[in-house]
Amino acid sequence: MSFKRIAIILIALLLLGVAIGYFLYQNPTELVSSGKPDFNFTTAELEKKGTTEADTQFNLQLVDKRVQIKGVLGSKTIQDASNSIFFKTDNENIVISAAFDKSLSESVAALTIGSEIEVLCVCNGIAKPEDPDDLLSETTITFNRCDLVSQK
Amino acid sequence: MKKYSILFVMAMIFAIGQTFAQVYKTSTAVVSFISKTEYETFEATNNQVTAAYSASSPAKVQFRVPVNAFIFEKKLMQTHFQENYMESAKYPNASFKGEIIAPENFRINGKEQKEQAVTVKGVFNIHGVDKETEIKGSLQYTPNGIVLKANFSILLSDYNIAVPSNLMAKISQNIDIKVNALLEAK
Repeated sequence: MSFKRIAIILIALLLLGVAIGYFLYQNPTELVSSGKPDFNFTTAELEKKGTTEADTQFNLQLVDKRVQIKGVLGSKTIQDASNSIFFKTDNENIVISAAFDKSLSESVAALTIGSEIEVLCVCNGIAKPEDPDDLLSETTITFNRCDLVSQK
Repeated sequence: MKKYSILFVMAMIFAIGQTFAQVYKTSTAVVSFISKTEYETFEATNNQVTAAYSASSPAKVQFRVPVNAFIFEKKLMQTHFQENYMESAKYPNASFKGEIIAPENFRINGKEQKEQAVTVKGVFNIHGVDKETEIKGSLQYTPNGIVLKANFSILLSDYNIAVPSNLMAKISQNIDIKVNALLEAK
């Protein structure tokens, strides 16, 4: 093989590498979850996990995983940048919230408080109060980049 | 005897005041940060921050930040931030807990509409590392609640966040952080 041919192949490979690298670098963050969930939970199951499991155990299992959650919509907050919903929980010291990208503002605004909904999200994890005198006395389980799967 | 009774009543009033100090909270505070160098600018925003302010004496402030709720424009940045720098599976939350030290005996009176500058002294926990720090910010009482704002910087090295040497030119050691929260009475 001539030197010229080797040089052409090497340059082509280099350009391909640069193109792949550029594509990967420019790939936007997925703002709405899609695909098959890694886990399925009802809010009652999440509440139980939140109270019975240590936060480390909960987080190692669920952080950054796709989770489908089924529960009753308790409240919602519509903001310019994003929208959050809060599931109804039996224990008022447990807050389960899910955030949606602003592209889903209309769908979130149309959700009816008290209805049963199912969302697919990425889990941010659980946070429990560190001290008894914490102002943030609630245990929070948060999800983001959510998509609305169903509403009944 | 009468003197002691008065002192007792005053102590009880103080204790009750401490116990029932009004607390303002939110679960949708916004924290954003920016890393700016000559070569690259990275920024991310988090709309899922829980925050609280207590009108106790001294007034207290607390934040809890789910690390993975910071959203970057590019997927690769998001992955690097979560997995390589913040190690979010191990340290999924950052937090701040502090007291208002200036002005002394600061209280929101429920009428003041003007933005009031405050200094909060407390402990940041980021990437599993605790660091005592002072932050300058402002509080403003509005009919919708208390608006809390702060702009400050942190050093990545203070929290054992290592940047690979080949990315030193692209990622600033000094990260500018902006906080904006509307806290409602609870």
